[in-house]
Amino acid sequence: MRGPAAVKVYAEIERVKARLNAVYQEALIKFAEDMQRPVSQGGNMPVKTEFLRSSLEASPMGASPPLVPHPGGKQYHYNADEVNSVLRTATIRKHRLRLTYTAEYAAHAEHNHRFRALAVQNWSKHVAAASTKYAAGRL
Amino acid sequence: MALVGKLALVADAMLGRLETQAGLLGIPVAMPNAAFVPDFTVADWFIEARFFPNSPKAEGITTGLMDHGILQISAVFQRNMGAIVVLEAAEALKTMFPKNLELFNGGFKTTVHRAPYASSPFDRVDQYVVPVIVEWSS
Repeated sequence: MRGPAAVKVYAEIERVKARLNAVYQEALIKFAEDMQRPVSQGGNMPVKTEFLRSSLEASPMGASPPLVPHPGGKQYHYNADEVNSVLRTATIRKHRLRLTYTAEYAAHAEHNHRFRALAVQNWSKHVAAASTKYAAGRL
Repeated sequence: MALVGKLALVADAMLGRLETQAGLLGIPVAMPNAAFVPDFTVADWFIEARFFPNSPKAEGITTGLMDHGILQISAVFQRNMGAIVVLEAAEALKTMFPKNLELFNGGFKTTVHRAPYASSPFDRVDQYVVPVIVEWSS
C-alpha cells in the first residue's frame, strides 16, 4: 500500500502529464490556426475557393490520405472545429497525429507561399504561449 | 537609394550573398519580383529565390523585435534530367548558407539559425524544382 507521500507524488505526476498533453494539444491547435490564416488576415495561406485550406485533415500516423485534384468551380469552407477536435486527442508520447493537405496542388502552393514552413518556424512560440496558458496551478 | 528598413537590409544581405555564391558557380539567379528568362544554355539549372518574412519571433524590452523568416532557394532544372543531379544542386545550395552563418548589413545581424534543408521536389509543366529552405533570424 502506498503511503500518503507517495499518493501525493503520484497525483502530482498525473497532473504534470495532463498539463504536458494540454500544452501539446494547445500548441498544435495554434500551429494549425497559424498555418491556415489567410493572406487577407495577415497569414500566408492563399485563399481563392478555399479548397486547399479546407483540405486540411488531421489523422493518426500511418498511411497518408489520398490526394485529390481541385474539382473546380464552387466555394469550399474550412471547418476548424473538426480538425481541432482530432488535435485534442493528441498525446505527446503515445498518440501522435499527422496533418495533411489532401489538395493535389498543395506542394505548389507551399512553394509559393510557405504557409506550412513559416508556421513550423513559429512552433516554439506556440509552445511558449500554450505553456503560459497551462502554467502550474492552472490545470 | 540607401536602405534603412530592417527587412530590406536583411533581404539585401541574404540575396547579396546568394548572388555572390551563385556567381562563383556560374549559375544564374531569378531574384524575387525581377525579370528573368530561363536560359538552360548558360547552365543546366538556375536558382529561384524567394524571401519570406515571418511574424516576429520575440519582442525584447531593450533589444527590440527579433525577426525571423525563410529564404527559399530552389534549384530549377529542365524535366527528365533524373533525380541525382538535382539533389547534387540542392546540396550546393545548402553549403551557401551554413548553420550559424552571420551576415551584417546596416547595423543588423542576420543569423542562419538552423542547418538548411531540401524540401520535397516537384514538377512544373516543363521544369523540375527542388526547394532549399534557409531559416534566418535577425
